[in-house]
Amino acid sequence: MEILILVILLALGYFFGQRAEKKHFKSIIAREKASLTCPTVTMKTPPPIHNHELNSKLVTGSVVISIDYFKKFVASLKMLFGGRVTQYESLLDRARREALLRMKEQAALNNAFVVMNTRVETSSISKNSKRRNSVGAVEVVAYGTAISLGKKIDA
Amino acid sequence: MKYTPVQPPEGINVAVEHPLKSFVILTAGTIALIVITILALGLAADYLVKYIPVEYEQELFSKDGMYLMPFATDDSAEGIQVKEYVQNIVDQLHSVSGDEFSDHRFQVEIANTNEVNAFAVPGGHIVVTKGLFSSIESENGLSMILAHEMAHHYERHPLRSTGRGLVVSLFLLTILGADGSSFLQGFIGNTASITNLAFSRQQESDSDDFASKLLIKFYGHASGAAEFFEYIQSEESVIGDIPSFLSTHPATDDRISNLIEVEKNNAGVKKPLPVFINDYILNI
Repeated sequence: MEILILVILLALGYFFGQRAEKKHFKSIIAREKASLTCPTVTMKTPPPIHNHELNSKLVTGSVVISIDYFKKFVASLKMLFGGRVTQYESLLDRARREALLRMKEQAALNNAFVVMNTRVETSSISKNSKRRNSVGAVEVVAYGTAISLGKKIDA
Repeated sequence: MKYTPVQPPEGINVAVEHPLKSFVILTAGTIALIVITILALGLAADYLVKYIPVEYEQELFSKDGMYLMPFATDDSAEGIQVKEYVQNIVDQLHSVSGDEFSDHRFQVEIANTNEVNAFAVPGGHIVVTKGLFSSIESENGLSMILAHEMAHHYERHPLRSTGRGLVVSLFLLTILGADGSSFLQGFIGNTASITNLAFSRQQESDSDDFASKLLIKFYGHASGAAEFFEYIQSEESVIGDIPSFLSTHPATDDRISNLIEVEKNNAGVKKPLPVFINDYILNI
């Protein structure tokens, strides 16, 4: 009986997890393409633009994504033997890129042409949960300084 | 500085691999590891059991250890009379079984059930069911069954099964984890089910050999050795109760024909069962 429940949970996790992931990646790639004109960089100094004033604004994007039961199961087995936990890799990749995209959306609202000093931070949610089989989730925050052109300076 | 708007290629931060592949490999590997460990632990327990002194086994599985028994004992006056009679036969058989077994002590119990069965429980216990007496015609037939169970004890078969069950369930509890109550349930359930005696076919036929030899030693002949098995064979198609016995004791045709052969070569006069046995089985 317990095995049957496990199999059902794994099948559900696999089906919905894979579906959600495929859909998400598709949307991420399309949106990344659309927002290519506004680069996000880690440089701290703004580009030397002399004919305009530069406006700066903090922009953030955050996302929480949960892992599915199937991936969690495979990952916990993987942790017995070691090696690349590919199950978490795709989860974190999705979260990181989604957070950057959300940050850029906010930057676009400010008409920014670049986001400077971009930082990405990851934290784990429900890590301290006492239930061993609880499904874990990750939060990724991306933040940076959006730079937009201000008043024109007459030379 | 120049910025060229291109998207980085996919598959750098994420492995391009079918998710089911690692699932299959990891699951199969883990199951294989667990099975190998259980087999190794079982073999180790099996090997080490013979170094446990008989006295210690008896201490561990004294009267209190009888919780392993799946039936209630028959404590009526008739039951106790039968028990004393059977105990007496066991003691007499034990006295001729040889010096190397002198440290063994046996304790007979009569289980109050109509099921036809007899089994050896760790600690020198021999359990005979009430129903068993309807399957035999002579004291020799009864002695054969008793000698068979004694042979299991001499070869430490019950302790081996229990030890194996205990080690394996401890291992499973260690990796799966369990709280106190289910630990106890798991331990008792597992041990009891294994003590319900899944002896191997080899162990059964070895015990048959030993028992028929002991019978010849005691009575001077082997008549009655196959009595019980002939009964089982004849009742097999009639009663539904019998297969539970057969599942733990693979009564192959080989086994029966061997005993009939021994019986033929060592024929003699069978000793009848006392009258109170007939009275005892009347109320079944």
